[in-house]
Amino acid sequence: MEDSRLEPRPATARPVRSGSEHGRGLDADARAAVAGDLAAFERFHRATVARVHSLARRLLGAGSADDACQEVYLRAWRGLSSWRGEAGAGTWLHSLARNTLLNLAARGGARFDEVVPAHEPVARVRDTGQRLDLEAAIERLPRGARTVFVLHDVEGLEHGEIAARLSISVGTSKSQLSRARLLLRSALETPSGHGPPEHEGGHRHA
Amino acid sequence: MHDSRTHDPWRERLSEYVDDELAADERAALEAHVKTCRECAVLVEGLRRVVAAARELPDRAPITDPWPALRAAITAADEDPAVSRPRRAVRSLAWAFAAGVLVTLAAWLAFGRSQGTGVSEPTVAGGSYLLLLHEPEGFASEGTPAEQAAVVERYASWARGLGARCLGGEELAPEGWEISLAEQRERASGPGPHPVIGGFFLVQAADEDEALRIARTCPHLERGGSIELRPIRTHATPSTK
Repeated sequence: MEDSRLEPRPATARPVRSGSEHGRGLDADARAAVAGDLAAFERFHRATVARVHSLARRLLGAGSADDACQEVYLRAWRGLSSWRGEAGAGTWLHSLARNTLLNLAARGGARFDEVVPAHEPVARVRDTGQRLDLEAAIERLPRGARTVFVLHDVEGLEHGEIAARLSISVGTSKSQLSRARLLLRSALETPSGHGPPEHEGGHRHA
Repeated sequence: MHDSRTHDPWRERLSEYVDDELAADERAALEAHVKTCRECAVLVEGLRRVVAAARELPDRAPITDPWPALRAAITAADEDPAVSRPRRAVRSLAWAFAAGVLVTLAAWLAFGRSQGTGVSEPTVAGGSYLLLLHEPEGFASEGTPAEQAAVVERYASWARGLGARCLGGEELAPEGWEISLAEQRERASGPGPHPVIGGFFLVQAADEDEALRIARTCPHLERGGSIELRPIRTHATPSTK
């Protein structure tokens, strides 16, 4: 099962809200990590890495996810002192992760033009046969559509926030979302028979 | 009954329909259409399944434990103060944005560049180009502090996305001085008939095409502004390193 410290994503797929009991353990570890406690930061990392790594895979592709995920936690380690404890540490981390990963994605040249499909990234998916069909299909989406879909349907952001964050219009955000969903629909309609993977990160310390 | 000409517009709206973002009259019209169109009805169901599946998408830890590599990187970085410092500078700037302060992008851009070894950004060969951000009449440059902060963050985020291609950028105060020897005058300039320049960015690009491509992505355009792009002529004088 999931580590009990890992805050579950609420049904609305909104970013993690803290203040829950899970959040308090996380916040305590974060506070200890601010003081330089590396063991506490390890717990913080283990409790949250599934979410951050999943977001990295979805936004950047499996091939870049490990490096990107590490970058997020390096920034978290250095930047935790700016966490003010108003929002929970999980929320703070997720926001940091989202910004870092989007900036990395932008550096890779994500485009959101309605007209130009731009350069589609070379398929990075190594189909191990273990992935969810939807996950694999998300990775195969054109960059712009993929980013908007992940932010809206997985992360639960509004079009207005997405538009501001990506410097695109709300109309573009909506049309990219529509495009992504239509493409993904085909992927879901033709299941290739793989069930959801077991929790591969199940070996975790509490 | 529905050839592609009449059908496609509906298809584009189904996603918004699923999100209940259509106005009441549009929604009624679309629902009427879906009742008669099997294809759209199937699509709506499919889209709902995608939305539901995305919401339920399970997070999965990476296959190999990333902690040992992370710990090694943390240890290495903590021994190298040049690596950790720039991040803090960037972070404190983010707080300044949040506070709605009008912020100098150049500060962190210059900082990031001077720390070139710490934050590895590839340098871009080619020329420099000045993007002058014109604000036509009616351009919405006012707003609540929160709105202004959001606008600043939009530009900043765009500039960050450019990485090493962005050499600097500033917002300009709306008023300044006009100086001319020929007309023997020196007067305060303010919002007037002349084109208002709200700010600028200095970018590095391989060629004019790339500079134009960069300029076209600037959020200034979506805000209704226009951009004047001027190649910088470089002379053999000591300039920025």
